[in-house]
Amino acid sequence: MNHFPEAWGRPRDDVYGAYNHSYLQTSGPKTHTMSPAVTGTSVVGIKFNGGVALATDNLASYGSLARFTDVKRLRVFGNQAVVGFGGDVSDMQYIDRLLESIDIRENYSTHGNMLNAKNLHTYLAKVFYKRRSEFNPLWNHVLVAGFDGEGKPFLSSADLLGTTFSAPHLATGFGAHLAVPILRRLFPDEKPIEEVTREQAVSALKDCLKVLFYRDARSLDKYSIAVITQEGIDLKEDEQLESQSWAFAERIKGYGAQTN
Amino acid sequence: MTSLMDHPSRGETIGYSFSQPTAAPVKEHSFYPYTDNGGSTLGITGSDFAILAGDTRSTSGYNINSRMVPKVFKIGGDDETGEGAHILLSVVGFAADGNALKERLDTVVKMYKYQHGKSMSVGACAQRLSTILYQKRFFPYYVHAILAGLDEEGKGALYSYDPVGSYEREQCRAAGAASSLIMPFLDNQVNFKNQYIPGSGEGHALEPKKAEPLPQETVKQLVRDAFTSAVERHIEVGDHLQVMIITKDGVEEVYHPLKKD
Amino acid sequence: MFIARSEYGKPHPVPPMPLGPTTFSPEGRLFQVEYSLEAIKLGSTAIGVATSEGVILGVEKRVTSTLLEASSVEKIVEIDQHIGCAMSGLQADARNLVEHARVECQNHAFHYAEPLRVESTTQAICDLALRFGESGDDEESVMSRPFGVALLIAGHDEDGPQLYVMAFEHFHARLANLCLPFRYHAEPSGTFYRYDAKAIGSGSEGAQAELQNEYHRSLTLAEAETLVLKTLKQVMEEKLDSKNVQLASVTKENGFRIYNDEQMSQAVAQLGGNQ
Repeated sequence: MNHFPEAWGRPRDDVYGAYNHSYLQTSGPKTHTMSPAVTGTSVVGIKFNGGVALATDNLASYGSLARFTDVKRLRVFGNQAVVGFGGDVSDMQYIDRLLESIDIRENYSTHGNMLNAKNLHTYLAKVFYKRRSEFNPLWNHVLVAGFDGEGKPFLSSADLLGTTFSAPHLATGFGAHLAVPILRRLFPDEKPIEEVTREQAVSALKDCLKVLFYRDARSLDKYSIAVITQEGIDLKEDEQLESQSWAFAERIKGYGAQTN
Repeated sequence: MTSLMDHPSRGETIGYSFSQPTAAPVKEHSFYPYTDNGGSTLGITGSDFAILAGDTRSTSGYNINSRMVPKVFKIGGDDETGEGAHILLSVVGFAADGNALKERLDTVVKMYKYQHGKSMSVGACAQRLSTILYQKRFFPYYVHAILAGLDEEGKGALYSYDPVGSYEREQCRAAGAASSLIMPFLDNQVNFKNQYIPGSGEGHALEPKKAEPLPQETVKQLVRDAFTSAVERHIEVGDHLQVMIITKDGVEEVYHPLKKD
Repeated sequence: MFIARSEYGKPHPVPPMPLGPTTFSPEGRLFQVEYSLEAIKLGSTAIGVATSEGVILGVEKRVTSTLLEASSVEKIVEIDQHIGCAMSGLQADARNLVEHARVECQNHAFHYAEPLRVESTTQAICDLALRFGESGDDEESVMSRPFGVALLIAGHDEDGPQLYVMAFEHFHARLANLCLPFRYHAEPSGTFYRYDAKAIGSGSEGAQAELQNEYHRSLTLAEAETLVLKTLKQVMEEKLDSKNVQLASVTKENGFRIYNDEQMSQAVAQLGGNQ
């Protein structure tokens, strides 16, 4: 047993090899978040007739460790916008505080909080772009859902570089590979969002989350889902993925009983 | 923390269970502030018009972010729709920088009108865009920009830029992912490179075909042909073709479908 | 009049507060602004006349001593190839303004590959002239007093030949107007003025009356030259000759040109011939 405080809580040298002390350095150049630590995975969103639906799972991973299993990655802003966060969780919490202070300030103004999802997205994209230009990025990829100034459903993406784009359905992280193809098949470009019902949208998101849980090792079967309509935000933060079938996994080499 | 780390007892004499590196390697900044969002743009001028076009696909690696992210913008318009604008700008490369550049130039053109009581000429705007780009010489806007409008004589004017502000007025220019596919086509079809007047001579005496401004309809068709071909051969180009045509009557904007594969 | 409570609750009069240049006096006056008006009233006469062919500027040099080298008195200067200016008042102050205008012109040409418009140049000068008083938290430091100089700015751009005045009646009234709307009923929009013909400085009242009588729109450049000299002659204390006045012109063809000795002699001779 080593009694020096520096050694406390460290992996044992004889088991794990020498500890990389560069992580503890107190001198050298000023460093920023150059890699994320605790992270959230995909965010999936889709527009439908009269609103937008957004979903994430409730996991915050530390590398490959499923560290926190009850982290809410959908954050409500005002009463008609939701931000779904992927990427670094501490940066998410920073942005959340930022948005909360804006919300409070706006609510104290005479007109109340008039900022819609489109305004919020523009603001967030500028924050991201400013921070990346300072070489001090906020390590997130977010989807902003709600309504634009004309009351039309709004769904748009912003990432740590300040890149922005919007589409009828979007997904970040692993979801960009796995969820987007599913959504594009279910709701092709020719089909206007007016023909997509709320039920179809929600069910599609659940399908996407299920596929992500099957194939994304950094995902969880507990999830949050927000449905934003003109009536308000319906946010459920403690959902469970249902009707999973792991039969396919039996055929995967190296899984379960099958070892070679 | 610092005082703990600098504890004098630290060293080999004390039995650590792990070895102490004598000097911690300095961690480098590993953050790369750019990305490539693909896509291509193209501009051609005529005697009384200028055309600026671009596809609307946005990519990250092999992913398609969105099928509808326009790359051609009206600059200095009266409202957010760009109504009343007389200058066009296309940006291709890193989309976040492209947007920042567009918004900056737009602000500059609007401020110019307030300060000097007249609309900015394309020539002046071209010079200003160059200085904007050059001012970020050591952290450039990673974009290939093309600026279009009508000059003081009403002729089509087109200026193309590199990311750090070198610029040139040209008859036509392709930029972005498929520029190397489109530009040779333009050289041949707009500037008549490698075209000769039949029967004008033998060998070196053969007279090259003189380039002259093309009619609007011909140019429109050239633009569409250029992009349909580029879509076939480049994965980052596709979805829709956004075309803006500027004439003395204003700016006309049209979209054409492109292959989505 | 002003009473405050002391530490022990005894009332005592507040000591007179030191007045900054933008601090009102108890009577509601801005002394520094008013003093600057006085400084300009003492200045030598300068005249500008705009015609469709170009603008003529003329100043009296006030050669106060026979030992003074007349060519060293510089009261008309170039701002850019297409803009020049004549001054009346503190010449050192004018140098600041002119330097600022020159930089603005060069900066504009660098950024926009075109000359700065005459009106914009004038606006740039006026912007600088307003920067006196106490600076705010994040403002750069400002001048401690207003400029004691008036300028005639002549130039040529796409709107043709133009003459602008940054002068006390208007510009300084505008300064005062920002602070004292009830004392000066000048143009409240904070603009400067464009003139066909204008005189500034100590002889300006008489000169302006003369210009008012003689000016007409179809004046040629040569006639404007004569009018400027004639008017100067009337208001000058010394006898006008080619050494104690200076002329300059701004035309589309030649831009800003200051008259050399030969041209001055010629112009003065012309005047003698006309009378």
